[in-house]
Amino acid sequence: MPNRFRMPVRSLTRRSLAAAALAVAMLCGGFLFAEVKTTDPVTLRVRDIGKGLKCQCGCSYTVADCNMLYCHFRDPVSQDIREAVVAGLSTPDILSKIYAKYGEMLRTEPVAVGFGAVGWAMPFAALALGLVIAPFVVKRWRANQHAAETASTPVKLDESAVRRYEAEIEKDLANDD
Amino acid sequence: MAIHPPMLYLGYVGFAVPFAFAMASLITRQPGDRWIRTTRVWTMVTWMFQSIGILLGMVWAYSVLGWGGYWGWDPVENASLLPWITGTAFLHSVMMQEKKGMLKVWNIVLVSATFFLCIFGTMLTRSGLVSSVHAFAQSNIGDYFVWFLPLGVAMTTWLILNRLDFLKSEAQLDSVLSRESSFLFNNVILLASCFAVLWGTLFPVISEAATGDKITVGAPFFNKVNIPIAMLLMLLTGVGPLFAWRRTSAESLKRNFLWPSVASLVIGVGLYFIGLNHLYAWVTVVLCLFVAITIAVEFFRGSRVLQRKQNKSLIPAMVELTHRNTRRYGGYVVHMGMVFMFIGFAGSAFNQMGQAEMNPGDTLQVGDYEFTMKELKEDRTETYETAVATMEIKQDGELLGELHPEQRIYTTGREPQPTGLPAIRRRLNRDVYIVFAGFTRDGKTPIMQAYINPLTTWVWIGGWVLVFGTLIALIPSKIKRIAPKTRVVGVVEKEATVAEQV
Repeated sequence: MPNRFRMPVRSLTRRSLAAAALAVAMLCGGFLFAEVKTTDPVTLRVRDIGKGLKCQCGCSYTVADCNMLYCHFRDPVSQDIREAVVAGLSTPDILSKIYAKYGEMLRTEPVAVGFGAVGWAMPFAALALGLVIAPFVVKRWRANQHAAETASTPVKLDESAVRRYEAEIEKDLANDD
Repeated sequence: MAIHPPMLYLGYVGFAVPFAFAMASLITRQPGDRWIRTTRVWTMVTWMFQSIGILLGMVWAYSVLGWGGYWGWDPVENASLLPWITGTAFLHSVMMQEKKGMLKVWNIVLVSATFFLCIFGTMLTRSGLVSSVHAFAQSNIGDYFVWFLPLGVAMTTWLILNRLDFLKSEAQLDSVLSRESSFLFNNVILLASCFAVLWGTLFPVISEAATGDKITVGAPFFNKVNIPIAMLLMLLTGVGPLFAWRRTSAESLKRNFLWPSVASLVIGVGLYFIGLNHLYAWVTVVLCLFVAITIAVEFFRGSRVLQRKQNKSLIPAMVELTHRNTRRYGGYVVHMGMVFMFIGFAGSAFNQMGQAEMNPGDTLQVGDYEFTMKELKEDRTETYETAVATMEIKQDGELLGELHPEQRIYTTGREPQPTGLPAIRRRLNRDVYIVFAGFTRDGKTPIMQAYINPLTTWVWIGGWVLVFGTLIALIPSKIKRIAPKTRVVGVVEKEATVAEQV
């Protein structure tokens, strides 16, 4: 390739830096303008409470997020929440009222008592168990390595031989994944 | 979008092949990793199809069906994610077997788990075991899977236990700080994430069986459980590739970690002061920056060496570097795709939504956006009735343009079938998304929902980068390594013996 078609390294580095800065600026822009500016406080509260209730139209979303056309469930529940908010009820009272009317299956997450607590604990217990077992596995692998090393007779190698073998191994492994 | 189900189908069905090879190697008592080498490309292609299938499902939910979001933790969505997670763990851990002869039993377990999770996913979709938005796929065929699943798991478990002697690993580790350790922890975290999704999906069934009461779980539960696990995974995505095989020296650790850590933290502090003040989103973005910087540095360092050696400019040197070891650098591109996706996920912490009954002339305010309905057109075709709204969008008083959300009611079926066609203004920093959510009960006033979704486009960019990276990894490397497994097996009197295993 003729030299005039080559991009000078310094210029490319500058371009890369500029591209990286632009990408960061775009990300910053996304978050900068993402602040919530409240409009109607009642609507916002209805939405917040709705986020804690599972819609029963089969959509898997919450009452606040369901946007299925003509959802038979979202609108009456939202209306009940709105009436309770306007009446001045607290969030726990509103939720109790909704659960009493529509059933406990509206909960989006288990209550952390009884079997519900097991529901919360199990995923983290599984992670913790894995993170406890993994170091033991590593320790066992290290012990195997140690046993293999001590099984062979240790000898003194001259520095150049050691370097030669190290270089050979590094060469093999350098480009590995 | 019609290819979303076939892509998932290819993913589900494709995982049967590495599983079949694994079982065949056990049945015929073949030691070694030949089955892994034979099925490596197939497994990667299958994983790619599964990824595309999941991605298209997300695009479908968001861009076509107008569900407002791209992931609702629906049981059938989860069912497609489960084998993808174990498949990802498998693609990482097979490298341990190929290069070091380690994790032989584990790899058989992983490929079996992936296959049976595919069966489980099919069972979940077709049996109606748990209620789902995908309930249209229910049929009697689900019963066969209910029987096949435990039978298959029992037989596979018996076979693995019976052949344990053939699966003895050469499990040795020079140092805790090594690529081998990072792969092990990567597998632990991926499996924990898989378990969390499976547990949440089946919890209504399990709780009903255990207590008699069905305890439902929704997106908030899955998010609370999976976000911390995903953040750990993102950390390992950045840290893992920086460890060398066998051992990593303190000097190399410092060289590789210092600047990416400092740079990502400094940018993170800057982002905090300009409004990124949601804890999970902040941590996710900082981790993403860390991973992105480490990947960029890896590419840059390798390319500079080639650039100097071959007197090439940087971009051709980067292409050459990637071509020399497509699996490694393709893997980095896949990781970069995950970084972009996680940035998109972090953006969802700042989503805003507003809903209003609107007639022409009415205005809805969401954040600093103002939506005004200018016009409503209703029409009828042979197959559907349609209503299209013209919504004018302003941001801080400045006119941005118009969007045209639509509602259709198809009238050719047994029952009228309503569907919404969202209108989206996509930008890299945020989407403005409007859904025509129907009419009020009297049928006179349209209901409009407007969303401001920051950074959602990065989810799609990340998805396609992930697919691109997989395609790179599928290209044969330019330099064939004939001695992928070199280890010192002993030291004799005068000279060490270097044994090479092909």
